[in-house]
Amino acid sequence: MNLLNVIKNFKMKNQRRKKTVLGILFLVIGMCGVLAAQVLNEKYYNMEARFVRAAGMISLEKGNSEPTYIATIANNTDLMPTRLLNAHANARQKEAVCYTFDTSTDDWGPIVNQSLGVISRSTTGSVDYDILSWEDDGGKRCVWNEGIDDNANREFGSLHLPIYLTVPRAG
Amino acid sequence: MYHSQINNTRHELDFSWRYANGDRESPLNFGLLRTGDVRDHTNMNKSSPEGADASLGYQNSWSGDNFGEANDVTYQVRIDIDSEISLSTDNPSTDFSSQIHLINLDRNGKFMGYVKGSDSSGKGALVKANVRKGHYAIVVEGRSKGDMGDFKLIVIAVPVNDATAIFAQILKSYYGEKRK
Repeated sequence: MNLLNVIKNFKMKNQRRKKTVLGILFLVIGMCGVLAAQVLNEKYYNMEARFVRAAGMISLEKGNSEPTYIATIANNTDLMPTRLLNAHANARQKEAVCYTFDTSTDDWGPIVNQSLGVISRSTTGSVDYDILSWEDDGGKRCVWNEGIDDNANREFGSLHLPIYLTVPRAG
Repeated sequence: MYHSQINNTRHELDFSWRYANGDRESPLNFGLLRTGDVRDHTNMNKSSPEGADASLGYQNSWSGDNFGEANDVTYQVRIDIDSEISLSTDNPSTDFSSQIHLINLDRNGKFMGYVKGSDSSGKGALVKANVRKGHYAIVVEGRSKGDMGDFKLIVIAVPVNDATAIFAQILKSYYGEKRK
């Protein structure tokens, strides 16, 4: 009797399993329909990053500050943040935008809205950026530590555009 | 706008992007549209931001009879059986006065003939047309020069004889409850 019950239960469970599997299968097929690309060639993006402005004194500078920034972008192919700038002393930076201003306050510097570059037909929709800042005390203004510069620091990362922006931003 | 802080200072970056395709010569491609298919795409027809590269925005690429002077975005679709198709931007995602044009293309994507344009007064536009098997361009543009913004284009194909009832059913399932 017990054995029969066990077999009966096993059959019922098996049927339930089959129904569950079929249900999941239909759900997956349905989801595939919903998630399928609506436009076949939408996975290409034109992207541009622009340096707008900066603010504040470099933290170590007590008096008048000459904050200096260099920044650049590149197509992100590995979806990981990449160091694009050379932070060694006296390094010349190719294709990097340089932003400088003199200040003794924490106010914003001038708006420059300068292009860091245009990436055409990116297939990842992702931009790598790298920004290095320091306080310039002489020498070449846009070259780190050519003179007596202070406190270089940097930020680098990636921006994955279409992941969080559902509508293109062109204005 | 992207704000960040390094070295006790702040900086501001601005990012812009658009789909690389969508121009007249390189349309966004819906591919084959069979009867019963519903496709949609959210996009915009804005110009590139001031000072930015022209490739970051759309331009007016269709002109002449039937077309306006506003920026346009071009889509391409292939129909494999005589169908009635519905093209609509009449939904909450569309935030500017839009119009839609349906154009017949040859196999190579070149202009063959103008099929139909939308006739509407609000932000959304609607085109319904019986079409033969073939290649078509769908153009979304502003109604007047300077009309630009975000839009959602919805494309539906149904068998010719069942069109009205099926359109209503699909739109109802698409949006759920009735919209105003």
